[in-house]
Amino acid sequence: MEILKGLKVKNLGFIPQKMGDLLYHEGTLLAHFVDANNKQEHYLYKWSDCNDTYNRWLIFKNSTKNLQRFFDKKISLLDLIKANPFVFIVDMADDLHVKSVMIVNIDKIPITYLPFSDSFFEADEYEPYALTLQKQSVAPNDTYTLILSEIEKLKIQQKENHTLLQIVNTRVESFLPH
Amino acid sequence: MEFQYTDEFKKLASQCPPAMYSTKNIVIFRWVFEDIKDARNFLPLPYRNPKRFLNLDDVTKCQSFSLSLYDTEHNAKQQFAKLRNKIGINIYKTIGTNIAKAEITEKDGVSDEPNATTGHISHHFAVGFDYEDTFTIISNL
Repeated sequence: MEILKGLKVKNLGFIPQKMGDLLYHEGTLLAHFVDANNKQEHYLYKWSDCNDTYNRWLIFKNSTKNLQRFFDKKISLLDLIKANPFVFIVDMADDLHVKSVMIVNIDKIPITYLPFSDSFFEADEYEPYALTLQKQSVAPNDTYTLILSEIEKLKIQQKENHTLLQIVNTRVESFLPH
Repeated sequence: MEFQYTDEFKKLASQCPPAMYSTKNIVIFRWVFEDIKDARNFLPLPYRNPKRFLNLDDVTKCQSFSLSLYDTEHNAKQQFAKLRNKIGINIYKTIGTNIAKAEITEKDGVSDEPNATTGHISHHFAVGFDYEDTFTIISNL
């Protein structure tokens, strides 16, 4: 495997929970994970290299907005990776047993680890789970969108409270001596 | 017909191979490494090291004991190129470097129907099938 320039760290900083395979050929090639402690945090694991003992995975974070743009074919898989300033490169033995974790700057990723520039989403080339994720990514479930949604709810509640207060005031006034 | 890995099938809740799989007399193509005797060429996922994730449900686990084949050399090449564009040039290191061709008969196992778009076939081979004698490398990927 290639010798990488990066920062070795003890762990990923999140608890990976596998959600499904996006590309599969006699084993996973691209999979969707979330942080088990924060399921709004999306990660893709892309197979990138191997030797006789380990598979090497390129792990990168994705916003819901970027996932949606990927499924809409506005950006490629390569663009999705390059939207990050850095990625995790992780060597794993069978299953999810991690041997090493390295943070690598996006410019230092070996070209052999990256998809081609025309790696746009095509539904019939992906596993059925991709369609499930595609539908989810349309739903507003990233942190930023959720905050906006909560603000909207608060605004509505504030308007309702204001209306209620006006009604109460009107009724109270009607009981007051003129 | 007795299949390879039958003991593993018995551990699964669902029927393996699936009932819809059937015997066929067909010419098939498979991605292999350049030496046909390479141990990686015909090992199903659960017996390979290192594995690319194995937390599978029973249906997927059954499929993991089958081998991936293609119905034409063109489809085998085209599907490889599509996967290479998404994963990167290193895909050769885990998938293979060449295409091998074989003629299989009804006694050699059961498979699903070729995928209408990709030509992909999943095949469960029968006990006694000789991979190295039946498959011949015909081209590079």
